[in-house]
Amino acid sequence: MNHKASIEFANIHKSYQRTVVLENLNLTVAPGEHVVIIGPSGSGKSTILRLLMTLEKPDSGEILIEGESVWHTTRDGRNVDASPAHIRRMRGKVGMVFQHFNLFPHLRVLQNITEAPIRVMGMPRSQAVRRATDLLDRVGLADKAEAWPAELSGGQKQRVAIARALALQPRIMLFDEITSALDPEIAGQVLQLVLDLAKQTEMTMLFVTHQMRFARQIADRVLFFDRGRIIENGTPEQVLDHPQQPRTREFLNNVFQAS
Amino acid sequence: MMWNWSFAWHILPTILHGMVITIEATILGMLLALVLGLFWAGLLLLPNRWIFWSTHGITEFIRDTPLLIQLFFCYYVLPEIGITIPALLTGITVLGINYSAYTAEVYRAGLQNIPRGQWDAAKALNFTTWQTFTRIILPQAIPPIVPAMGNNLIAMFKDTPLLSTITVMEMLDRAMIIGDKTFRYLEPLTMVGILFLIISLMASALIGFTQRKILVRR
Ligand SMILES: Nc1ncnc2c1ncn2[C@@H]1O[C@H](COP(=O)(O)OP(=O)(O)OP(=O)(O)O)[C@@H](O)[C@H]1O
Ligand SMILES: [Mg+2]
Repeated sequence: MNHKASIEFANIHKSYQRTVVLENLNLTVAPGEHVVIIGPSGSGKSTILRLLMTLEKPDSGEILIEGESVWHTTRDGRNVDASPAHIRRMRGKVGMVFQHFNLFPHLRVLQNITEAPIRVMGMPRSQAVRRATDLLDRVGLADKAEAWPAELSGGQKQRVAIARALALQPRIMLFDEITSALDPEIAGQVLQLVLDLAKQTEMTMLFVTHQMRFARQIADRVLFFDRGRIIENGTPEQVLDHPQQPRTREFLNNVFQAS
Repeated sequence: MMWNWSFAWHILPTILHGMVITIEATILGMLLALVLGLFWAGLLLLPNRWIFWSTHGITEFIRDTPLLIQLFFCYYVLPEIGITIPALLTGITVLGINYSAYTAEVYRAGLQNIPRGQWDAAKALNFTTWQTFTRIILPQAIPPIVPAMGNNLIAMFKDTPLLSTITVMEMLDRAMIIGDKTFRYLEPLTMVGILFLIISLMASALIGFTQRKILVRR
């Protein structure tokens, strides 16, 4: 097994009741790599991110993060289910930003960011506040620390959600259509922020997006996904400009016509 | 029969004493109902079919049998198998358990209104399930259900006269004793009715005020 990989999916199967979503999926992502996943609706893109975030459990196969299995450990030479503590430790390596922000509406902006560092990492409040203030500054919302989420625009909410995920300093960040709920202009600003962040860190990043311009700018590699399978995998130029599969060409035509 | 003010004045302390017991039974009974109902609602959220159906069965059973029979059973039948509990404690416990079946439903509705994204975000931030429930989900679920809980509180308050059937000396019981001794029922029963009305109205106003306060803060 390649212990240099940041993320590894080995023979992952995942179904919901009768719907098979992922079938025998294999995928490796290198440390610091920025991978963009594109594909039609319902093809299983979110499922991949949700599996990595441990919001879903695979039916079979292994997910490895930095060479370590998320759901299993070996005891007496046998592969057994991992303890909740192990799963939590693995979960701590990953952070996620959601399409609908999912800010906690009963907490002010600053508390949205400090709550997890304080409760989960046991960070002293003063340090958590300092870090959160820095992060708010980085996402351009230094003056909104005491606002309620309901008082923010969509773009501002998503900036807070990004700061909130960064506060736990994950090794891997997942972005699931983070601008799909935003106006095009605001979406552009949020994506620019993510581009800037990506340059400043060594985090491994996975993006699901329909923004082809953004994909081109940020991706080291683009995966085209259809019905739970990777059917194209390469640099942005290879996949977006010279797709090999008819299915990819058809999809890209539709996307470009729509935008 | 004419209203006799001096008689009314004379029996007021006895009835007020009964009122203290009525209020005590309501507050303690409601506290039990709030805690136990949350416990049921929490069990109903667990992804275990066996736990779900047994919890569902228990709350359904509690709701589908009359409170009066539950009171009689606990006060008159349990002693036959060696469990003797004082009347007031029996009354409070039965009220609390009975109403927990209703508060559980209210909690459940409140919890179901919290979008799945809140659970997802909390998990992604690595909160434990307990932290997620107590710090993220419940604080959002509770404010909208304050009015429904308030209605349960008032309903329970109005059910407390049932405790007189198991010898708890609450307001109605005392009024009836006075009536039986003096053959005057007009004043004691009227006073009890008016006291129930006053306290219910005050409780409604308090609940409305709490609700407005919560709404303003959002
Ligand atoms: N909780 C669930 N229960 C049942 N089916 C689900 C669930 N979540 C996803 N699915 C199904 O799994 C399939 C893949 O869903 P997924 O959300 O991964 O797709 P996606 O590629 O992210 O689509 P989109 O672009 O619309 O977000 C879909 O057919 C979806 O209906
Ligand atoms: Mg999706």
